[in-house]
Amino acid sequence: MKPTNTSAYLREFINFGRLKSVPVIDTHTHMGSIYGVSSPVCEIEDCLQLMDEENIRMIWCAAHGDLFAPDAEDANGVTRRLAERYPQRVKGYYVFNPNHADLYEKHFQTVKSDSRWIGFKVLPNYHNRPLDAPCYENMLRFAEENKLIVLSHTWGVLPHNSTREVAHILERHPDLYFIIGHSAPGECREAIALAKKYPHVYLDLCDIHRHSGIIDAMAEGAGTDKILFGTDLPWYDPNYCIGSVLCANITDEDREKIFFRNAEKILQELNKQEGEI
Amino acid sequence: MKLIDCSACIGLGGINREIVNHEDYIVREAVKEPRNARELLAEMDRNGIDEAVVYHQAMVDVSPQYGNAKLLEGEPLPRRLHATMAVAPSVSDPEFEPEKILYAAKKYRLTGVRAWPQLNRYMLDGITCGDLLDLLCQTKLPLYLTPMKNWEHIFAVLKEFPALRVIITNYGLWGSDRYFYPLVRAYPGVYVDTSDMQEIRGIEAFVNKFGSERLLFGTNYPMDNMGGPIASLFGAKISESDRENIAHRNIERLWSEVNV
Repeated sequence: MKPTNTSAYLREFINFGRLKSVPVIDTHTHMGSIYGVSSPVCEIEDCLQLMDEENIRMIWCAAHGDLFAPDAEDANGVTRRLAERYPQRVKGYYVFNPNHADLYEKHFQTVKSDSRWIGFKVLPNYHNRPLDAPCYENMLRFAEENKLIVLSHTWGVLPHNSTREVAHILERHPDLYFIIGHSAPGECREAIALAKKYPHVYLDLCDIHRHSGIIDAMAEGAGTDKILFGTDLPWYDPNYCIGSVLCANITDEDREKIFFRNAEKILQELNKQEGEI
Repeated sequence: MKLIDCSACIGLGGINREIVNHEDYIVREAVKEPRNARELLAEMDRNGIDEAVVYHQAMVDVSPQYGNAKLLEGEPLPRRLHATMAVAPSVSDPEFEPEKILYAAKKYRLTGVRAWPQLNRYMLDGITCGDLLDLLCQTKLPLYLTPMKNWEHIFAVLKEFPALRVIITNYGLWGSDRYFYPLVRAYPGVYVDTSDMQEIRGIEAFVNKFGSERLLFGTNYPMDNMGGPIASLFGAKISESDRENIAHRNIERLWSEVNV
């Protein structure tokens, strides 16, 4: 039967099996294999082919190897090489693991000056350090002062990266560009309130988009200007997240913002965009 | 293309709502829930879904008996919705003796039964549920199982009752092919609901390995929205014939083979 949802993008997707007329920027991705799941498509070349097929123009990425296995000789080398090889398709998040802060802090200036990096990625729960602990403070201050974005893994209720820790750091750094990674599942309403309150705080669709009505709640609570497309690629196929956006009770103009316009605007504000998306 | 959703849920959750992220990892989040059949149909209309197999959240949150009554004994379901009922061991709960399940299957035109053995504290095996499992093997009435806690009970019951028709649903978004591929390979009656199949090219990989006859389009609504599973199906690089199998033919075939 024909859906009553009149989105032109939905119609296009059903007819062609892909979005053709609107690009997507995926602001939450990784690369490489990872524990817990089989990963037949996980290396950049395979993912680029997938991205071409699904009209994903650009990814913002922190590779699994950099996230989980600090390399004393080449911190964030995996992500750096991806961004060097594919500068129009890959922007890097510089992983900051506070357990080895000395490995990373000496490269902060490079993150600022090199347009391949757009900011920092942190995993407080995985790295066993609360997001509001002093060990993150240098990085957060540097990011705020230099207009770099921070993507933090967040998850409601779990220690170290719930919306409470996020609220604490935003009180100290109200002008920080900050993505609430996964939008704190279990505390999504609190995440929405933070995105509404602070001018540069964004909600991330990664994982949480799949639940019924979540995008509607984000749009109503914080506005579609504050929602970013994210998938954890190569964990998940972007098509699923695209479908979540297509079925939300929002306009196609709102969908464009989520698919790419909000991310593009952030790149421009951070002065990290080179050429057209 | 006709779309039949192999598993959706009606009713408000006591906790809105416990969602499987991966086995033994539950996320509790507030989602948009269909309070009744009418609201589910409205969402199906919006997303172009023709029919759906349904259960009631009270089957999980209260008890199989209470939830069954909520779904089956109230206002009759609209024709586009197809009922399932929750079961428990007849040795302790005589309302689930085989002849009573058969009676209910005929009366309510059941398209399957659902078991949550860990939640309801019983073993889904021959010792505890032999009469039920024999009945399901004979009638080919599908048994819906979810690995909310783990996959062991699914492996165990199929080892003992390999002729069962099992629909694996609500398994979380982490790629689960290391669990369900072996089951599909070993047992011809195992089917997989596509609702949580988010891994990259998951549908294509499954179809390439096992063909398209063992996948059932599903939404797992409202834990999942309807758009994600629809986009996964329509975005999959498979033949139109394979897509039709997954969208509706496979479940229609399963229904046609039920002998009650």
